Amino acid sequence: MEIKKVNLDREPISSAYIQQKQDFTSVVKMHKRYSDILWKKTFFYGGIGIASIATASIFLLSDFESNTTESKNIQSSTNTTATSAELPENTLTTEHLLATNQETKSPEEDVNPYSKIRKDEPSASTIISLDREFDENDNLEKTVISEVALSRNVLMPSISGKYNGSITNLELCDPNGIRAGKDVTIKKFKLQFASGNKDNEIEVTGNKIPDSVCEEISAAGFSQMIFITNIKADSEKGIIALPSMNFWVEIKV
Amino acid sequence: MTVNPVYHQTSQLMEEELSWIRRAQKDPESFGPLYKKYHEQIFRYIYQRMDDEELAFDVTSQVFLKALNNLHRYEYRGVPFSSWLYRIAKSELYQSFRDRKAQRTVNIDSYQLFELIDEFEEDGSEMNKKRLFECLPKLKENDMQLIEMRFFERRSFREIGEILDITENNAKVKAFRALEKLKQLFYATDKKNGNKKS
Repeated sequence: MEIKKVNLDREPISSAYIQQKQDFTSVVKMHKRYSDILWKKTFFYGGIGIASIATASIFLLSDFESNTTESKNIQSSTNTTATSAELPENTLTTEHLLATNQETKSPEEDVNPYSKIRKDEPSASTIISLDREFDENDNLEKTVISEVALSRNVLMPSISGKYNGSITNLELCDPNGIRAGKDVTIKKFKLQFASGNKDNEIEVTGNKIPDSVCEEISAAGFSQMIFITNIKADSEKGIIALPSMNFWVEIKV
Repeated sequence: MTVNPVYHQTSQLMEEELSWIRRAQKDPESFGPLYKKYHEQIFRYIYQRMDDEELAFDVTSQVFLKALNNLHRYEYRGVPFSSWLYRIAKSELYQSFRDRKAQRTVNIDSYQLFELIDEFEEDGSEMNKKRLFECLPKLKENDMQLIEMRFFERRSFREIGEILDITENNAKVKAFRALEKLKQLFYATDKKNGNKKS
C-alpha cells in the first residue's frame, strides 16, 4: 500500500468534539438489524438441516444401490452360497460384503466394492498446504493455498525432531539437518532469516542449514522467526514437495 | 516515553472490563461502557492514518459494530480488550483503503519530526526536517505503522506486539529495523543532495 500523503501539524481534534460524535444507539440498532438477518435464525438452520439430510440420504441411497448391483456381480463370479440366498434381492449388509470380499481376496485381486478402488493403488497422495505470506503491496497477510504431494504415509519434515515452534540455534544447526523419513532425501529448500538489520532469503541445496547461516543467526544475537519453505525431497515416488516449517529461534551460546 | 494510561490498566480495571464484556455478550445494550471507554482512542488511531474526518468517524462506528457482532467469539486472554478492538480497527482501516474510500495518510507534528531526527543524532535544522519529511512516504506500510505506533503514538512494545499479534520482543526488533530503514532513506536523500553526514 502506498502512502499517499503526509500532513504536517494538522489541526488537532478535541476530545469533547469526538465525544459529541459518539453514537452508541445507532451501533446497537445496526447490530440488531444484523442479528435479525434470516440466515442467522435458528429456524432457518432447521430448514437447511432437513434439506441437507434429505439430499445426503438420496445420494447415499443411490450410491448404495449401484454398489449392490456391482457386489451382486462379484458374488455370482465367486459362487457365494449361504447368506445371499436368504436375503431378498437388492439387499446387502456390511457383513455380507465383507464375507464376499474375504472369499474373493487374492494378492492380485484385492477389490473393495464400496470404493471401487484397488487397494494396492496409492491413496492420499496430496494434501492442501496453507501458508501465510505477507503481501507488501497490499499490506495484507494472504493465505497461499498450494497442493503438496505426499506419499501414503504423510511425510513431515523436522529438524532435531521439531516441526515448528521454538527451537534453539544449536538444534537448528543439527548436523543431521532436515529429515522426513527413512527413504526420503531432502534435496533443497528456501530459508528466510534475519541478520543484523536485513532480511535474507537463500536457496539451500541439501538438507542442512549452512554453517555460515548458523553463524549469522547466532551473531545477530536476537531471537527471530525463520521460515523454511519450498522443501523438495527425493522419495520412491520421485521428487515431492513437503510442508513448510516455521521456527522461533532462541539463541543459546 | 509516555505510557498509554487506558492501555496499561490495573488488574482490578481489567476485571471490571471483563465483567462489562460478559454482560455485553448477553445484552448488546451493556456494550455502552466499553464503547464510551474506547471510542476516542480507536477514532484517533484511525484518523491518524487517514485524511477524511467524517470517514474516520464512519470507520470507527464500523469497528464497534463488528466488535459487537462478534463479541460472542471474544475470549479473554489476559490482554486488554482494546488490543482486540485495535485489530478490528486495523482490518477495517485497510478495508477502507482497498475500497478506495480513504487515502493512506501519515499525520505528523513538527516536534515528532524533531524527535525522530534526534534519534538519528542529527541536528533539528529545517533542512533535516525537510529531508525526513520527504523520506516518510517512501517507507513501506509495515515499517510505517511501526514508526507511527512507536514514535508518533508512543505505544509500548508490549502494546504494539498485542495489536500486531506478535511478541513484545519481535515488536522491538521490527520497530528497530523500521527505524534503521528510515535512517537509510534519510541518508540516501542526503547523498542525492550531495551532502555528507557530519
